[in-house]
Amino acid sequence: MKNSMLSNLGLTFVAASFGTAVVAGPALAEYPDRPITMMIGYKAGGGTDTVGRVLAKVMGEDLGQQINILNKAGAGGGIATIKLKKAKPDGYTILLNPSTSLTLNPYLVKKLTYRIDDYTYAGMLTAYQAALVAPIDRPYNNLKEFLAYAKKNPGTKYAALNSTARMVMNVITKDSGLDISIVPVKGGAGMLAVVFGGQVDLAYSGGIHQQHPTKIKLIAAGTSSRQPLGPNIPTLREDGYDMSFDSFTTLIVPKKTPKAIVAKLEAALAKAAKNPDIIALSARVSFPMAHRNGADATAEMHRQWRDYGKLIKATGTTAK
Amino acid sequence: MENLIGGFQDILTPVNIAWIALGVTIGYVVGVLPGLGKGTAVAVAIPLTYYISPLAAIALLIGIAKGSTAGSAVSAILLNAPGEPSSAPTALDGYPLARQGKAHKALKMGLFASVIGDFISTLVLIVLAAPLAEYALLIGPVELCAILLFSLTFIGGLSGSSLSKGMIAACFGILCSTVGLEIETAIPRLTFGVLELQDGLPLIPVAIGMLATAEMIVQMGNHKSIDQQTSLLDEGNASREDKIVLWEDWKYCIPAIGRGTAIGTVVGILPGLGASVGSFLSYGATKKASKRPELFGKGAIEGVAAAESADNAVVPASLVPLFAIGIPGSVIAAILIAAFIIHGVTPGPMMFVEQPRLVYGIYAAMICASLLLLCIGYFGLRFFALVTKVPMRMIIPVVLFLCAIGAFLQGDGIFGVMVMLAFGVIGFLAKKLEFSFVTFLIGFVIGPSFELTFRQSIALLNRDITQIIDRPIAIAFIVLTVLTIWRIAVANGKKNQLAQKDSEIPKT
Repeated sequence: MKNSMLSNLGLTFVAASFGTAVVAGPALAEYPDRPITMMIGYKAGGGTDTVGRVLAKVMGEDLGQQINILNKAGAGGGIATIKLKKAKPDGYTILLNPSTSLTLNPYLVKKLTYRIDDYTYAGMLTAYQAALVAPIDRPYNNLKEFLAYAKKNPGTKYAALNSTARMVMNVITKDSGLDISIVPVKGGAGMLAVVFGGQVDLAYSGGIHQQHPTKIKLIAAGTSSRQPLGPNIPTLREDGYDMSFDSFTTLIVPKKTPKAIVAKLEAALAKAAKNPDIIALSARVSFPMAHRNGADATAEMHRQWRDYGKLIKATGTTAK
Repeated sequence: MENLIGGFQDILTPVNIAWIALGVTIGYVVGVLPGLGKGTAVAVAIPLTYYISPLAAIALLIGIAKGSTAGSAVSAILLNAPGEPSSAPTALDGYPLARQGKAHKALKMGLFASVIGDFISTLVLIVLAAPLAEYALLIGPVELCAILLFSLTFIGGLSGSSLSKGMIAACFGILCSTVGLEIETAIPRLTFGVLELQDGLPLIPVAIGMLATAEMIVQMGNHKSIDQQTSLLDEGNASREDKIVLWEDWKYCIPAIGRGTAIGTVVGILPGLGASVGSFLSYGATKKASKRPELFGKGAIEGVAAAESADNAVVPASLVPLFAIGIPGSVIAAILIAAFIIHGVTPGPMMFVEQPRLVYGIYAAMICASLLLLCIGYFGLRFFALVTKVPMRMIIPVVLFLCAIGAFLQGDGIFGVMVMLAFGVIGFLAKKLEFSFVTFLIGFVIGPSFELTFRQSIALLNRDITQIIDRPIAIAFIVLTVLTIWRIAVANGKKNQLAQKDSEIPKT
């Protein structure tokens, strides 16, 4: 008796603190009438997590209910995306993830069986700024100059933090006869450490380089358009490589979430995109604002899915 | 210096001091609870800080980090159930001391060593952050790889009685650490199709299972004898000498604390090593340098001092790369980054230009947190020491419940709890069969960094080992590694000879 009470108490505690338990909600008109759980596909401390935490606070104040953050890291946001697919479509479990965890990662990882049509999109908030970067003291300032340097200096080193980064270098060096060693690094922090220490000559960055303009310079923009911090630096596409790595923080809900609830979340996100706290934060983490409503976000997801599919095919990459 | 005085002016308001005290208290209590560690505590507390000023918020979080690091020694000493891998060496001597009725002494020494390590490391951060961080960058992957190799060998040499069993445990630890996506080509290894395993076995649930859950299973089997021992302890508990830290204890501990603080600070500054490496290295170095190494593992007070001073010195030192260059040097620093940014501060060198007042306020807060830790810990340990008087049948379910919560929070829900249970069973078998769980943990903790830096080294040296000539630091650590292996071999040879002589004596 005592034991079962204790375990009940435990369950209630866990459920209450993290809002993961789902209780059947009453009429929709009252949404939200209890705290919402916002999953984030990354560990606490990263850029996505930071944006998510402030967004949760701002949207929660607007909706009149607390939004709790639940970090569900793993498989590049994939674990959280799978969890969301299984979640009850009642608007009380939502997900903030980079769009590429749905539009690119399933091409690279076999186990990620979800597809973009398995979800509904309430909108996008900020843009990631993928780029090729180099230590500030290197003698080259764009991709062409870097390639000339690499030709003269065999054994030039490139830091790759994921399989996308590796793919970029493989495309660039294909048929060029260049000898570039790829150094694996772990996460943005690992990349910064080798670039600051001058251990590598080039690196792929998800956008964190922008916080260190005195130590790192942009060599090529990985996005489809040029980047605010380096308007003179061409994109990879302008350099003649048919690829770009656009990604946006996207607010995702389960497919069958009622339209009225999605509309409420969409409105709250749109309002948040104008909130000064969010705008200031976006500048600090160097994720430029890129708000899109639900319909535009869905179109963008489809565009990315098509483009990445083409790229994957062209590079002959297979899912593992 | 003027800046620092300004910082103290900002921090020495009743409100700010109250926030720091609250942070240290929360941290200390969470740290004491087995299964819950500093990572959990700081991450859970971030939303609480939205509504207070940036300085108070960061002071609160740093207070939590410091408090929980020191607090984790308490469960290690009293229950042999360290909350985090980095306080595992504290339990090696702390728990035997507690069972000898010297719980108060061990707890006090643990606290003093924690505060001293933390305080000196904080001063290093304040005075030397910028120049040290520049030096730390010279330590690239090749050097780190050599340092990790040395740490692995050095700590492995400490493993219990049997070298081969220690090596088996270490290799098993490294094997477990290879689970997940392979770092270069992202091919899944040993995941058996389980998606959750793609990012590897989660560290905290494995550590909780191996350290706390396994120990609770062992104690469940012995609970009657432990309780009997406890009631005996009560009667003989009056002796004052067992309760306080004597001058004689200090004599053994001061060098240990000095060494631990130095090791912890250096390990903290280098990104990618971590608190566990610091506390284990310090414990090992103190044992090696000791004139009474036979006492280690049986209740040597300087073992507690060595482990705790290093464990706590890592925390402030790991903020050196964060403050000076903007790279997080530890898990705690990574979580603090989010808190800093949310409160309008971008960690890095620009912080000193844009918000010098705030930086020095944080420094002042860190010094205050050290002092408050001493006071709060000192009062707290009297209270927590009462735990030794509670019968085991009441302690075990509570500890297991807390372990499950810790594993749930840090291991993606129920998956983490299952990992914890599996490693609880493995840990139980390891304890019963006398395989060193310490070497297992070190293998498991260092394994991924070692593999990563080794692969990085291959690429950075252009697959040509002779290029290591340009890296004197790496060569120095490789030489140290060889010396360590040689010393272990010689010591083992002597031990074998002695054993042979012993077995010959009865014959003659």
